[in-house]
This record gives sequence, structure tokens and C-alpha cells, in this order.
Amino acid sequence: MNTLYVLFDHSCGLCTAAARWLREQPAFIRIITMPATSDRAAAKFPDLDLPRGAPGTLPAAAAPDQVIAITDEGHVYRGPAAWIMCLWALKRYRAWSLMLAQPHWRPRVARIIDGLGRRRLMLSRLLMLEAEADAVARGDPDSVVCGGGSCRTEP
Amino acid sequence: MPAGTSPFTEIAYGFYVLLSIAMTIWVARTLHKNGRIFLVDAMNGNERLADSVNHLLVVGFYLVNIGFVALFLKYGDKPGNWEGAIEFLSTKMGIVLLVLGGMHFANIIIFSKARSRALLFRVPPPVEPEGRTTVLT
Repeated sequence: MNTLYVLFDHSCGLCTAAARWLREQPAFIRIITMPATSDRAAAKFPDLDLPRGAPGTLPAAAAPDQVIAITDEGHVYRGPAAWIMCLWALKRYRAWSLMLAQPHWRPRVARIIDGLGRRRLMLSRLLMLEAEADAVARGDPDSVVCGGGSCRTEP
Repeated sequence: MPAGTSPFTEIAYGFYVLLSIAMTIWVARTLHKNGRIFLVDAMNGNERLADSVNHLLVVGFYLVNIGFVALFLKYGDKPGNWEGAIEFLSTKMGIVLLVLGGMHFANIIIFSKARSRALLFRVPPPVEPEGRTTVLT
């Protein structure tokens, strides 16, 4: 495995911040983040049945509730498993991913991740995190690199 | 012998230098011999690289320890009799041994950190995928 694709909801500020954090971490493999509803993601993963639409044009509900991680070999991970895969890809957090995947922690991680996933828009508002879709709509020059396309981290 | 000095100081110094260097050599050899297997594992089985790193670490170990022993020589009360000479020697050797022990443990930590990093690199994903999909390039 050389690349991990991470599909996130770019209409959510929390998800945008998490994707940005993920890209900035030193990683063992290449990490490419894409908005789940982007044409790029739909073109890359034709069998995944992703909701489509130009960045920012889809209502928030159209995006999947959970993060999706896909390896370049085509293995699909959703929600908590996708989070554990993201941690596994990072140099500083691989040991954490091994711990959190253990039977003792796994259900707790699942509860927390599902809870965060359902409340992500409310949390984004509370934390005043700007969604990538809004930054693109606003024409923020920093967002253009990632907007609608993808951002990558080289290992 | 000049007035005001005793032979005890010189004798204690002589023993101090001999014993400290002997201890340094012993610890360095132990480290060199037993650390190798850790390093080979940490370097993913590359024995030549492991031997090179091992050798460099031992050289550093010698430099720091002999440097410390040399610098530390003049500190402490000069002994005036045999009793004082033994106390002088034992205090100095005690401190040198503690420093050697600290260096030794630091080296072991370096070895095991390098190894666990290498082990982590080889660990497969801890979760099962829920399915497969096509990835177009």
C-alpha cells in the first residue's frame, strides 16, 4: 500500500480542519484527501456510489455521515475504521492506531466517532471552523489548492 | 617529593585513571557486543549499516566517557593518608560508574527506540476493510 485516499465532508468545518491536520502530519504513506462529493472522488472511485455535485452546491445532508478511507489497492474503510486507518498512516500515531483497534477500545472509538459525525455541523458552528466549501465559495486563495480537487501529503 | 604534597594523591589518581578507563572499555565492549542484534533488527536486517552505526555509537561512548573521566580528575579533596586515598578513589569511581551507567542506559534507549520504530514501520493495518472498490488512476 502506497497511498491512502480520505474522503471527507467539505461542507463541514470540523471535517475540513481534520483533513488539513491529516495532511500536515508526517506519514508513512501518501495521504490524499478529497471532498466526498467532488467530481474527482466520483471519477476516482466509480463503484463507490458517492453523492455528486460541484463543491458547495450540495446540501450538507448529501455528504456521507462518515469519513471514507480507501487504499490504492481498493480496500474501503468507513467511519471509525477509516479513522484508525488515518492514524495508522501517520508516523506519530501508528502506535495509537494499534491500541485503538483493540477490542477494549474499538467500541469506545466507534461511539465517539459516530457521535462526532452526527454532530459535526453543530460542532463546526460552535468552534467557528470554516468549511472548505465555504472557503472556496469565498474565493480564499489558500483553499483553491484543495478546493474541489485534492490535497496530498508526501510520505 | 616537593613539600606539601603526599604520594597518596598521585597513587589515587593513577588508580582512578586505570580503573575508570578499564570500566569504560568493559561497558563499551558489552554495548558493542549485545547492542548489535537490536540495531540489525532496527535497520531491517541490513547488517553492514547496523555494524557501522554500532561502531559510531561506541566511538561516541568512548569520547564522552574518557572526556568526563579526564575532566573530573582534579575535583575532590586531596587525600593525606591511605584512608583518605581509598575514600577519594571510591567517591570518584562511584560518580564515574553512575555516569557510565547513565550513558549505558541512554544507549539502550536509543537501540530500543530505533528498533520499535522499525517494527512499527512493518506493522500491517490493524482494522479489516469492509469491502473492495475500483480505484481508477
